[in-house]
Amino acid sequence: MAAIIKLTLSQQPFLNANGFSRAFPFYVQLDEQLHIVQLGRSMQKIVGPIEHRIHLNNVFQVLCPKNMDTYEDLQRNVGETLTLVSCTGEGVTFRGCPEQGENNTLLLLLTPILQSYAEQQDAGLSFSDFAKHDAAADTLLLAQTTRMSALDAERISMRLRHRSEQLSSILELNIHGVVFFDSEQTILHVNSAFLEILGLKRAEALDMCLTDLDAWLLDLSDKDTGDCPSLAVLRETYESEKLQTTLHLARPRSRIIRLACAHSPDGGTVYYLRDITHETEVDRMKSEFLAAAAHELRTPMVSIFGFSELLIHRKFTEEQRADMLRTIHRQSGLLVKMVNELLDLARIESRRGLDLKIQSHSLHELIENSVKGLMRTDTDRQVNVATVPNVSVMIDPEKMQLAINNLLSNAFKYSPQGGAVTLNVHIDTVGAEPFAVIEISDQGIGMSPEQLDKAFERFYRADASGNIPGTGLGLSMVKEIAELHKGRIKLTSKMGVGTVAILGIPLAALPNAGDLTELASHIKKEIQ
Amino acid sequence: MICNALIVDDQSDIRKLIMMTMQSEKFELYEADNGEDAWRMACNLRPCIVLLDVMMPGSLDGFQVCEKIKTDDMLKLTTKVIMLTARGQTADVERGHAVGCDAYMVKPFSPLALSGLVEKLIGSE
Repeated sequence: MAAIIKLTLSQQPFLNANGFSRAFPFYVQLDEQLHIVQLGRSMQKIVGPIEHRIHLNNVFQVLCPKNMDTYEDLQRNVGETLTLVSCTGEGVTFRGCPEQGENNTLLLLLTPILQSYAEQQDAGLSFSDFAKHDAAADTLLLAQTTRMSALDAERISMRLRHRSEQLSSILELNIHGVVFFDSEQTILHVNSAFLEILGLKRAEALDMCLTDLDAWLLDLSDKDTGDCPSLAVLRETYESEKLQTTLHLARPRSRIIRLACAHSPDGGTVYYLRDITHETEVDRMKSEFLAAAAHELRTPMVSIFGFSELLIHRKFTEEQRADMLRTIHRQSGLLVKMVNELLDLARIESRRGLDLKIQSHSLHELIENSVKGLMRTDTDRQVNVATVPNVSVMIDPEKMQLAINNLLSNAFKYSPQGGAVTLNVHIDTVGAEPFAVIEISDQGIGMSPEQLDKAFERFYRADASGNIPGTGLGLSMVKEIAELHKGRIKLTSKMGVGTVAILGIPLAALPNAGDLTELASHIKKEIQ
Repeated sequence: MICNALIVDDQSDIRKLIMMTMQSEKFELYEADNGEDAWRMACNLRPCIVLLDVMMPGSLDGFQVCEKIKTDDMLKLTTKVIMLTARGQTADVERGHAVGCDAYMVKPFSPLALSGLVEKLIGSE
């Protein structure tokens, strides 16, 4: 049937050479001597530039049928399948059929046999090089689509793998415990924080179902709090505000845990365990501190407010009036002192030592200034200062002086009946570090072991009668200052005997051998 | 008629303030600086009024002393208790009323208002 079609390149009104080449981009036109007259535009890409009228056999080898050596051989095969291979380039195989052209020419209407997208690329062909009706293009398009899909799938799977690794790291590095159950209540994921909080091994946990975990939690919970933690109950709760609860665990260590739960769309459940032990404790301390501060600030105000009101509205003797005014004055002084100390303490604490001006400072000078700075107008009692070694300490002189002042002032205040207030200094080491140890002792009222335990608490007063003035903030501040200097503070005391405050301050590097000798002699004295 | 008034506070200045506020021919004034003494003195003195601080050293706080007075068969009939404390939160006030105090005043207080309150409580006898 194909044999009777007479193909034309130019005279056909609807198919000019360009249109023909688009319809048969791989055609080869031959003259009677089998010289190549013209090539389709895509065929030109494959065979490259060739000589004009070169013989077919120089460019192609006819594979099938055999013995197609002459024009007539091919003419006899018009409309039959023809397979040939290009001799140039990559050696592309073509299949098609010879057709009779005009002016005694033959047209080989061919299409390349390409198995894959890679082969198409190797041949330097793109999809536009194929005729739209050519099934080879469809096959190649399918091959390419498949290949692209495979590449996409691989890319997506890699992306998913990375994402999943990222999520795992996020989950794992989370400091809060996370556990994820699927809709069958089997554990799918669990992070290390969760395992740590509940004292579980990963393998154990992954073996558990919701009920097992509930039993485990109940076992760990602090029975005194009456908690009856249940993940299952929490899971059944649908009101969002109830999807949280607090657990008190007694084991593996005592903790308060905030447990939250969320449902995932696929029926799974995520539980989130947040250790709130520390923040609960901080909250409690803050409330306690505020309550204590409010109480302590109100106490002097009671006297100021009350006595002044009485003075305004009632008549008193001159002596009573003087006494009341003295009380108002004393209590307002206390109020001012308390506010100042609170501010000092808050400042020291909030800066966490950032504004400390630590420098090498003479211990001798520090002690001398501290004793001088102690304003005692109401008594002629003196501090007995023993010999101070000639060494330097690493301190912020202003802050450390405040601390020593406080200790000296306590020694006087708490020995109202008199007795010696003594300041001793010796050198000692803690670990390898040398410390200047300042001991301030009094022969005052002393403290019971219970009072001693609370001595550094803010607002704690060993004397609650109000007879000894004070704010209960001094020792807290001394402790804060000592700690900021990486120093030590300790109290020893005995009821009715007196108190010794022991303050250790790090020594500065020893400047010369003379000091070393002196230091050694001091240590020797200590040992003796 | 002169009746006994017991003033309980661990701060001597505040005891002095209350004593000066209460100074009149109506009262014989007594003072205590802790819960245990307050309870013991209340039992002995059978005061018509006790002015009671809450936070004090020792094992009995003001609430406990008030509760003891108000659950004592004899004292509950004769003794009015005014809690006089720096603890002014609702929960504290509620606790005061729960242990049976007749009035609750938060420090700092007005001595004149305290006088008025005492008058009112004793007058209602």
